[in-house]
Amino acid sequence: MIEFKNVCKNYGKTKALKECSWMGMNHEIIGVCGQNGSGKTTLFRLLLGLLQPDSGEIRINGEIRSAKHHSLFGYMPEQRSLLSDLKVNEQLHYFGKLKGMEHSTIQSQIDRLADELEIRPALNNTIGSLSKGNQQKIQLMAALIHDPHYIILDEPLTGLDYANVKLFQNQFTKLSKAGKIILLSSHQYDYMDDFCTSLIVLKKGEMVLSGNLDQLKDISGKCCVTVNSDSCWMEHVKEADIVEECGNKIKITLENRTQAKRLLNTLSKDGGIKELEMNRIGIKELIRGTNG
Amino acid sequence: MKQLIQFSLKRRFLTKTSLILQILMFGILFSVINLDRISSQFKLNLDRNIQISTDESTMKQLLPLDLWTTYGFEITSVEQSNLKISTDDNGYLITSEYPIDLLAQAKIQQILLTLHQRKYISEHHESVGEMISNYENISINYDVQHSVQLSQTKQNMIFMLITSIYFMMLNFAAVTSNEVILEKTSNLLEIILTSVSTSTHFISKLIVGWLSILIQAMITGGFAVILLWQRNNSDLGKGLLKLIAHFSLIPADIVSFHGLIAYLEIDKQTIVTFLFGCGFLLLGILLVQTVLVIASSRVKTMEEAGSIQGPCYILLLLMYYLTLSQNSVAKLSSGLGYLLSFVPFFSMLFMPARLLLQPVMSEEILLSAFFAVSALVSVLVFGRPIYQQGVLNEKKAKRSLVKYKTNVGKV
Repeated sequence: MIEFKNVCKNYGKTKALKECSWMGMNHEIIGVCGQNGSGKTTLFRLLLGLLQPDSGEIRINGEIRSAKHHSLFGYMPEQRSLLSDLKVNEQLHYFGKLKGMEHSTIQSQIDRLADELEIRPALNNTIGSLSKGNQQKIQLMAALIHDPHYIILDEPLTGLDYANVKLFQNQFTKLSKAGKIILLSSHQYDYMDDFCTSLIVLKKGEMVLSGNLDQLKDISGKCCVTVNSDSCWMEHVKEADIVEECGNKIKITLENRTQAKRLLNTLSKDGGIKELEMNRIGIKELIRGTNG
Repeated sequence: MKQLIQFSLKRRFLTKTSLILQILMFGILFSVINLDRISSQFKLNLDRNIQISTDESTMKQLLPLDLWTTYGFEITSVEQSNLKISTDDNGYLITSEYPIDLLAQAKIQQILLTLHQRKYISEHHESVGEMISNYENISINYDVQHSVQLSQTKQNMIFMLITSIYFMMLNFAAVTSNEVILEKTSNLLEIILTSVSTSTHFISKLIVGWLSILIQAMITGGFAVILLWQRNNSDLGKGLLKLIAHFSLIPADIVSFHGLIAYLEIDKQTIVTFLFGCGFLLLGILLVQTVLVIASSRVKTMEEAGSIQGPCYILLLLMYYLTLSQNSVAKLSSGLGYLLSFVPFFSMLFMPARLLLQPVMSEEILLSAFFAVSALVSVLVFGRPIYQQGVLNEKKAKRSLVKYKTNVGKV
């Protein structure tokens, strides 16, 4: 369990995090969202012990965060942090040893993760010779090598193709089922919707939204209607909050379920409709609701 | 910390590039220790006397020729000669293709004066031998009030050794700071610091720097011992020592390595002086290394690294020349040289220079060491938070927040 209690962090006169409080429980996959410079990295660095809060408390399983908790955390930074001239195996062994692991344990972890992330053939290659996606996998392996309980991933899905995103998602879900807590930041909200269980939204260092994703969606009450049609149907949309084009489809966000159902009924009578579906809003709409 | 040190040392010494450099080092040492053989193989004749040619009429003036040989000259044919001596109305004319060095000029002058002196004596006195004997028996004695610690040859050799170590260690200090920059620019540092504290990382880098110096010194020393042993078995080092003697670095009568060791008289006093000198040198270099590592933590790109190290090198080079200019008993007993032997950073060369030249009071040594250690501790204590801020790019984070505010304002 992770607990932030009124945590503040300033860089000189600039407030990077203001009175930040939240709690992360086992099995949770927490999406941390916000614009660039909203305080996501500062939040991660505080958790990792790279920075100390100016005020407030960070507790790990009820204890104040200290150096003894270092080994419980695994971290995947936003930018590649691998030495391109090293072989994959060498780099992972180095990270494992830094975490105090034995050679044999490191090797068995490398073998397991390499199979799960489908990268075994690349283990003896130099990192510089790998594709960006494969380097991303190595970076994730480095974060997971010591089987950490708290996993912090800064933009883990950037630059991945669809197949690899799914591979990563499966890995996250598996880790979550094993009781781990995952915190990840991303701007790819559609993907996050598929596996995040909780959400933290930061804006200028302030936590504007946090909690269980389902509950947040329920509380907001908003619904989305997605339409794919050749006919002119926009005249039916009067009460829509936001209309957004997504390729051939148009996504309409409505204030509540009743409005959404009414629109759905109206549009279903239109002969030119090819696709029509109603969903709860996603992370993107939730964030938009906070102006974050 | 152990893992950090092991990894750094492995990356530094167990790579292809490092192996090639060690082979190169072996090659250089081999060439130096067998310089006489290589030069004769390539007919370079490094120990060849200066060749002088002359005309028939002048030749008579230059006799006997053994005097020239004693001073390292050889009368030869015009084709082979470096310079030509002829006579004109005013005396002698020495013709050379390039300027003659001052030492050679002085020797030629001395020989010609001696020859003229002898000639004059032989023309006016019957007993030349008696007159020469009278000249040679003139007694000139020196009464030195303050004795010098070590002989001139020993001083030169130890000073050369200490300044060699000085430049070698400077190189390794820069390598350590480059390593910090590499870890920082590759973002590896952020991951490392999730496993170890910034203090541990900071200290480990300093230890790596020191171990690297030690390992490199051991490797180079090992190569030198092997090659010297091989040379000793071959000809006791006779050819090499003859070549060194030709450059006036050692007396010409030393014909073996054993003879050289005996000549140097490496006694307790010499060893203690050398060790004290090394101690001050190490303290100074550690200070430089610490400052460089702290400065490197603020660097954001490899290109920026040069702008930090460049001025530092110039400063260190200036200090080296300043030490050379002040390296005399008079200058080191009082004045700037004396003062700088107590100033941290400067004391790493000035105190060893003083120790080699004159007796230094133990209180002075302790005071200088105290200042050097205090400066080092101060840099470590005050530099640690700067290093921590630097490696985590806290300023960068601050800037990005400011940028964000501006964007919001525009929207």
